[in-house]
Amino acid sequence: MKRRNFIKHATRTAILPAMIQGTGMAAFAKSPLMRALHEDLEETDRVLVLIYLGGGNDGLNSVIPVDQYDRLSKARPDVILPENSLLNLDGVSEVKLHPAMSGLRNLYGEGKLGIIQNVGYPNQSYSHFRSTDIWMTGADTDELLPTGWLGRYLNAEYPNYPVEYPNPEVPDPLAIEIGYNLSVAFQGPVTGMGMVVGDPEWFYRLVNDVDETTPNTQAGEKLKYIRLITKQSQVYGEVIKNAASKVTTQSTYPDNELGEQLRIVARLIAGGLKTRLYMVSLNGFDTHDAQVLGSDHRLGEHANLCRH
Amino acid sequence: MKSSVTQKESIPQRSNVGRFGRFLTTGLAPYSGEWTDQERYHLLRRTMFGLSMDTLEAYHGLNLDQCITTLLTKSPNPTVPVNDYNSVEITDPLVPAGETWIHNSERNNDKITSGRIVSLKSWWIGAMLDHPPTMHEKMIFFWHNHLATQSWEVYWPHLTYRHFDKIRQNAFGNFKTLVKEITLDPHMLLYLNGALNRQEAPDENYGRELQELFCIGKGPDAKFTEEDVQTAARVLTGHSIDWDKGGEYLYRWYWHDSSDKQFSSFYGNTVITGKEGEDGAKELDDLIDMIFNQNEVAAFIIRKIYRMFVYSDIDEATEENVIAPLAAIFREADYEVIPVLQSLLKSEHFFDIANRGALIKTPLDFMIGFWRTGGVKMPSGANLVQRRQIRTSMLWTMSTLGAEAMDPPNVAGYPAYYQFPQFDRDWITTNSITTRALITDSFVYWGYWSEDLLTTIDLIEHCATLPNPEDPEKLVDGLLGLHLAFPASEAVRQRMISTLLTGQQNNYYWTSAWFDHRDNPADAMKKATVELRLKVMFQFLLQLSEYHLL
Repeated sequence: MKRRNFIKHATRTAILPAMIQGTGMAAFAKSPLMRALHEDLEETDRVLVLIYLGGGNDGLNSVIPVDQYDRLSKARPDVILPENSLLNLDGVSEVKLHPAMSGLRNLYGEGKLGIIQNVGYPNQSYSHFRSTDIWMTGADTDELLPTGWLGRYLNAEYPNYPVEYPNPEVPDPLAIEIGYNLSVAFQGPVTGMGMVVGDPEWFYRLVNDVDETTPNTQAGEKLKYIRLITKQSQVYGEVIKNAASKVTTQSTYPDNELGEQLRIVARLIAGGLKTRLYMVSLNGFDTHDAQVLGSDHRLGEHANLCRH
Repeated sequence: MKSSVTQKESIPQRSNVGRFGRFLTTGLAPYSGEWTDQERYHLLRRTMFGLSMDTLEAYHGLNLDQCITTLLTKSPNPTVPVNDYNSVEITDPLVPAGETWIHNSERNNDKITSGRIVSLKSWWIGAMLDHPPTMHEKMIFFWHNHLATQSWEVYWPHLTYRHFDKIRQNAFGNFKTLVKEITLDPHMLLYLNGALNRQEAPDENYGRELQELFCIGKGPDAKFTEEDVQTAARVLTGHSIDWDKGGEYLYRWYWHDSSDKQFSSFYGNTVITGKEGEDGAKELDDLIDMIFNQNEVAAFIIRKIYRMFVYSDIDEATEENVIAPLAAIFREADYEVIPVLQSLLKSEHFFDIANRGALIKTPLDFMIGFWRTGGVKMPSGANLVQRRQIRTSMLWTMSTLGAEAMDPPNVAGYPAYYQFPQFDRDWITTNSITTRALITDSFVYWGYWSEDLLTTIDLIEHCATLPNPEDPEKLVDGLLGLHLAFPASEAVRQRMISTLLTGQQNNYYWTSAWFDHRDNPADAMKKATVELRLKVMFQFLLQLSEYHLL
């Protein structure tokens, strides 16, 4: 995989989209992630795990630009966090973290977390759905793209996928999404470039060997799609199960939606899967009136989500 | 059979049907082609869940007009949900087992609230499993997807029941009336924060979705502005609920913004004159009139109807030949739904051979359709709670397939109806396709599991409903015609026949096995001989990719 190309594609449309937005570039330069982005990574065993925060995270209440705290509290009096409750990042004065994000603060201290701020696009859409599509496809505000930014990248790297895949050189899924649906982000020009995994230990062998021609009609196109996905479920389902079965013990993960998904990802990586891209998701960020408790802005649904 | 598929060299810009370079030219002219079981089944599959025996009997011998009249008849209301959730863990102190809980607004005990929510969802699944042979139940699913809410978010089950009852009563009614009722519906007022929308702190959520998701959409001609969203929210201030009285609707005039509201040029620069006191509530009528005066409303809803009942992708020819004229009918009828459904379901476009089998089954079409078409029955002797448990198992199963009844992923409904470019392909993933196979295999082989009962499909009884089940060729043809919306290949047909004959050449082996069992129903060996072959054949049939087409 040509990592450098990936980064080129990725930075054009923004990495870690929903997680961080805001102002300034404060916590940016020293991060290991940024170093990684600049290194020559033609050949690599690195893996990118994207965490989709469904509903859209409130970046300004996650990474708080304290150098503009007064303006912020005027603009957002109903949700502003008390300044003295915010968590410091070592060596950073411009931004602080939400009080519930002590885990991420510690990771930063250990040099394991990078934060990219000021990621966004002009003429932001306030529609929940349109803006989700924009982040997933990397489109401009007024542009409708049928493919995702990751899907386009993978298609550029593996132009013939899914024909002749898997093969000895690329035996594993190109991308894996934990959950029930494949995000638009992984949609390529011809087909979805990722594979959806619920339970990696679960693999169901189907009876049909379907290798029939399909007519070039509307129904034929759907049929072809179903056959393709069926075939992928069979060839990759076994690969994934085999990788999972190689890992019998894992360290303890937090008992929540996100922890469980990351545990699966870690297990597949440890099991030797060469898949480079994973996506997991945590929903509930469309918090509206429940974002903070009126009595204490440090608490509320957003705080609970940030604690993950 | 007539096909109107034509090859087109240029791909329309806004279309992705052009992916395979074809589009249709048929429109709303009444269908006048052949009228056989194939056409009838196409109509019934798309408008109901599966093809149950009583459906086939009800429509036997009817012509197209008669079919449409029957389809568009309102079904009687199902009996109300009852306490079928009492268990070792929960006993509802307020509602005895077997009595309805829908008049009780308590929600202080999480176990009881959750029990009622699951009971309600299972009740709806029951209504779908037993639905009378009309289109009513599928229209409820249509409106639920269109005016989507999530019952776990609202977490007040008697309000969820009432919300769905509004949808049920208006499913064949007037869209404008439905939108007004849903705007004032406590379930929706809670779900999209309208209940908290007040002059001092306007909440844009409902004002936005009313336009973006429910009425105008996001099409190229939907040019309402961000200010229109905010202004609509101001019109809606004050429509709230009474938390102390079970969440009843309450107009709080003292929360209402009574200033004049100026809308953009998209709405012809309409000004909604502000009203004071209780009269402030009437501004809603002005808002709805203003929105429904836009041509885009009808076109937007028609596209949604089209995607659920005809085909997923809309190209320019379809826009011109189907969407635009249907939208005109919708406007002409002042947003009555029936005339639209009549024209669409009678049209040559609906019966165009290219549209048949060209949708992918939703998890509901898959699961409830399988149950109804296969004549699956609740295990004999199952009591109230056990019947609920079986429907609850189906609820969680359909949830793993991507559709939990009464809780679509978000307020936009299911991605299958809006997510370009995937649309209904979204139902099929590497995960869901194997889960679907596991479900049908369970019914066929070892029983579909609920808390303490197994449900199976009686394959012999099912086959006995078809003509000449003793003739392997006729049986296979009958099953293919009933279960598949897409014609199976000769290879598939031969493999099924061969399975019945266990690879032998003589049809008579099956015939004699069938009659042997029929004449000696108590002989377990003779029954097993027939059943074993049917199991293998059904597993194959139900795992076919074609089986997932609608």
